[in-house]
Amino acid sequence: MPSIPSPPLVQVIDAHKEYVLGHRTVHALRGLSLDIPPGGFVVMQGPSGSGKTTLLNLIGCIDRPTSGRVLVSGQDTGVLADAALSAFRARKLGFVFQNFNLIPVLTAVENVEYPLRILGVAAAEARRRALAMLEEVGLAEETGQRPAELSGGQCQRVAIARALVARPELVVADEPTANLDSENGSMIIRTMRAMRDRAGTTFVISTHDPEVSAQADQRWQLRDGHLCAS
Amino acid sequence: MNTWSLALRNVWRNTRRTAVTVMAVALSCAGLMLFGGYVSWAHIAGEVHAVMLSGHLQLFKEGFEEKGAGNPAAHALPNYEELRQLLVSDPVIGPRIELVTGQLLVQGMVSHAATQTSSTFAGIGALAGDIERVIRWNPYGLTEARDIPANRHLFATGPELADEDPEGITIGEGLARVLGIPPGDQAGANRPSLELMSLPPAGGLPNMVSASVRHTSIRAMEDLDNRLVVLPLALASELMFPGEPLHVTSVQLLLKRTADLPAVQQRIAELDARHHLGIEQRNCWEMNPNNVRSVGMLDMFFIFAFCIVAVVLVFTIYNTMMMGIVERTRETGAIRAMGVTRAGVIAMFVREGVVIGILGGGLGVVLGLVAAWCVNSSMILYTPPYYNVQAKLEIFCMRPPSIILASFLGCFIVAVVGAFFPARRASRMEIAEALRH
Ligand SMILES: Nc1ncnc2c1ncn2[C@@H]1O[C@H](COP(=O)(O)OP(=O)(O)OP(=O)(O)O)[C@@H](O)[C@H]1O
Ligand SMILES: [Mg+2]
Repeated sequence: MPSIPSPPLVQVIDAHKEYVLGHRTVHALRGLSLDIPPGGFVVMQGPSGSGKTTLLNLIGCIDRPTSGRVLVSGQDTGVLADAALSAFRARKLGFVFQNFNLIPVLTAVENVEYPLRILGVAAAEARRRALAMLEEVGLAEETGQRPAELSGGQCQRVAIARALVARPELVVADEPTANLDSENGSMIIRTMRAMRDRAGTTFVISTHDPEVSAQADQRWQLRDGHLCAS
Repeated sequence: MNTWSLALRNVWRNTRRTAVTVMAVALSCAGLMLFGGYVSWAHIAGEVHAVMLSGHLQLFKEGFEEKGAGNPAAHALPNYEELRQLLVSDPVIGPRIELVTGQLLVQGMVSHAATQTSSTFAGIGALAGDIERVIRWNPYGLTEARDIPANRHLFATGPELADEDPEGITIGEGLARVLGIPPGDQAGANRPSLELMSLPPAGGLPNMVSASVRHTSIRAMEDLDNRLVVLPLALASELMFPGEPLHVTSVQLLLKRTADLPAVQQRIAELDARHHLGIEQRNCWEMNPNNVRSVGMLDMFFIFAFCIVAVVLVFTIYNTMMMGIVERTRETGAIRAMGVTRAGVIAMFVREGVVIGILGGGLGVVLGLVAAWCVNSSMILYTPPYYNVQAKLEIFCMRPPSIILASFLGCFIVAVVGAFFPARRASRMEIAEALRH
């Protein structure tokens, strides 16, 4: 049955990425194109070195393609200067990293507030939203703890809360479960799915973990900088 | 969480490294304060010493400087009292004056009949009470040289001249030796009596006056010691100008504040032009150029020391900040990904430099004050270049208080500059690179 096609949230158009290492040029992406619909829970799979991180960096607007274009939420990110692109990321994007990258001198709730403070949200309001977000990821008890006092799974849940607190349209997660045991890993994925279901946030996740892939509603297979549909 | 508390926490991440850096800033700041306080003391001491030697200002008969040395009395001012009245009653000069006095420089022969010895002498005729007031001018509360035990032998126990003793004089120890007079205070009854003889400036037969020695003294200037006679102004005037009113070679002015010197000099120039006084002025700096020079040299040392401190401190801070920034590469990449701009990264790290600067500078001010207090309350003696008595080392790091502020700000600015360059490097990292770190 016909439905009104919603425009893709992310469009990657013929993206190339080359790294020059001395005399050698590494082709990390070789003319890759894909669309990601809003509200998707998309997983990138592929062997090590296939270009997953490179692709996620482009989608997350923290790197630029050597050639080709990346559009996020209709915005051609290639035309934005650094400061404008930073502001764009702050408003539209959230990140979850393999090794959490929480700020060690800040408590859980302060870490979650951080993106709101970048956006200029007032302290009290930021605190309120950060606490609510931590409760949603099941960390209502640990808000005053610093990352060093939390387990890996708890850290990653803080990171998810941090990625989501500013209500971004898109969350990019590069191997979010790689540093966790399988139990914590599947809990993290369940948490992310629950967030997608509740807020409609789009997730793009790279992983080697079949359990993560199983949760996806769209899977892409990368090999040597190419996409092979699966 | 606000940005400053974040900076504070980041600074204390590596306690030992930060403590060392803060200490480096603190010691630099304290060092600058101490040196600055010493230079400030030297300025004040140089000023007080110059004034003590010659008063703030002396007025001579025009041409004295050029031709007066060989026959000072020939260039004497015959109207001392008139000049004095003019100055004291002047609305500009009067209120600024502490003292107006006169000096008559004389030269001649001195003979001691009891030992059948004689010598040439250079005499300073002065007013008894006024000499003391010039020598002891000390509006800044410096430790006076005569109060330092090590200098005690340099100063006569009583005044060099006294009003009730119109024939009493004080002579240099070198001269006393020549005349066969034992050094020190001379006992009342058998004080050595001397004959002073001089040619009157206008020519004719020599005049003679009798005098008796109260003290012998060391005037802290060796070459003068062998010829010096300090005698009452009236006696000197009588020797050179018998039967005439008081003559002086110079009218000496002591001001309440040295800062008034230019205004007073300008006013005197106006009076000179208006009343045709025929005088020339020489101030304490012109008469004691070494005082100006040696203090000027200290200023250069200070600038030099500051530059060295600044360079060392910039590198210390740079090094500390760079280590922190390298350790936090991934974290910096992460906050950049979250939307912190390059400027935001610079601000974050510079803020940490500011924190280090404030902590170090603040600690430095405290250390500096404590060290200055220790120095000032112990008796550290040394011989300053323009003054061959022992002086007590004093550190005036609160006079003016801007020395503290300048030392603090100097170190603070250096710390911020030292943080800026690493911060800029951190801000220029590629985000993807930083995250792979
Ligand atoms: N900054 C860089 N400089 C040089 N080569 C790079 C750089 N980043 C990535 N590469 C290369 O690009 C290719 C793709 O790397 P990428 O990190 O995207 O792979 P990946 O799929 O994420 O691998 P993994 O599963 O190991 O994380 C690899 O050959 C890698 O060596
Ligand atoms: Mg990767």
